[in-house]
Amino acid sequence: MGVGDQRDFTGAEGASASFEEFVGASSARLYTMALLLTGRQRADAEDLLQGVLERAYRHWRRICRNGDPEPYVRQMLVHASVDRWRQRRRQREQPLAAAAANPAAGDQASEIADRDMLLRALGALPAGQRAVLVLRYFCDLSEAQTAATLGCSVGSVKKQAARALASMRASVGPAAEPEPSTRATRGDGAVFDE
Amino acid sequence: MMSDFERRLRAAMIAASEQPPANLMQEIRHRHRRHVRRVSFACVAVAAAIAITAQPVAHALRAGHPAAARPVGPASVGPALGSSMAPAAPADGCQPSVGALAPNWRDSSLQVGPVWFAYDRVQRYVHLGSSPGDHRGAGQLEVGVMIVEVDYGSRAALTVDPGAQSYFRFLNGFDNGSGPYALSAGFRSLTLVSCPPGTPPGDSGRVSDYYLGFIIKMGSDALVEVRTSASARPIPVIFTCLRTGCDT
Repeated sequence: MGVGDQRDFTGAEGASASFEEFVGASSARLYTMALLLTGRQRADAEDLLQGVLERAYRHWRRICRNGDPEPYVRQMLVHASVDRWRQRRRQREQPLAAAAANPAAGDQASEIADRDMLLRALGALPAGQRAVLVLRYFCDLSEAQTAATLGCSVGSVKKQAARALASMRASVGPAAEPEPSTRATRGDGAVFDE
Repeated sequence: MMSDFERRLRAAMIAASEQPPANLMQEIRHRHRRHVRRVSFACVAVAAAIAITAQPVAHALRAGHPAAARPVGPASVGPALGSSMAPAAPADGCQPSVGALAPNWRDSSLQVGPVWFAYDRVQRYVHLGSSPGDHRGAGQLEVGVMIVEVDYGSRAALTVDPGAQSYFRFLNGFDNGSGPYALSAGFRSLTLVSCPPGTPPGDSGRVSDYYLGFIIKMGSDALVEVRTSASARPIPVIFTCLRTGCDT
């Protein structure tokens, strides 16, 4: 991921050149992050990323003053996505497609279907919870780093993450997360908890 | 420790990686240009709004006009007030007289404090008084011309009485044209600021002269207040347009 890479953008190079260099190096990560934050809505993700990068460009020298600009831009992206979600939260949520609710396990197709279902469930979360999961599992940030990015406490991050994961598990359904160590199958095929 | 669910979620997120659109940098530049244009336009609009609002207030303050005491807001900065006050600026300045008046012009002029309505005793378009006649509103609009002299070191604000504003306005210029005229072309007040006392005298003496006009409905009288300072009492004068015409 290279999230922690330190690059120098405060040298004698013009702000414009260093900004272009930053976009070239980070845009794929940031775009994927925008996609995850917007529930894989491509148009929204592009709009979100363009808006954030344009604002970053305006204050580029200041952003670069503290070293690697990526954490700051990432923070801008998260806040912008939460703001956007707040503005749109009156829109109806899209329920998960019934066909994707119970993927068959085993082959590659089911793996793809499983990922798709997980990302759909992620997209159905409130923006704050979604941001926590994206920062924790996509950006590989610790709970403390996630809390710093979101401007909240570590406890709040833990709580949000727990709620988000519980909500996703409920959406995806028990069949998507088999846990053989705690479950047993009877001879008639019924699954029960020990 | 990550649970299996968390590992699957992480794998799903990483597998969702996509390349951004190829024109990302171009779109950012486009947005930035749009932002700069929008901000520039907003700055120009704010500056224009401040200028439009400040000008009448500054005029009123300098002339001791009652408008200075009014709060600035939507009710007091309507289009009528704006149009009446702002264009008065060209008349508002030192203009030493340049040889148009006869040597004895003061004898034939009406004096209202430091303000002289030149040749009025011949033309009789304005006289001292506060009771306009009863014959207003009839006839069509006519244009009168007037030369106003103001003593050096003085200023005067001429304000049309609200009751006469529907048929009388000042013109900021010496208009000998033959119409048609519209009230909207005129102003409800004029502010005349003469030259400082030390200014060399012009051809007509130590006065600043203004070539002005007025629009009035023929056969009507219009009450106008002349105020020479914020503390001085306003002096009422009445502009008249006889059925034979407003000027000679």
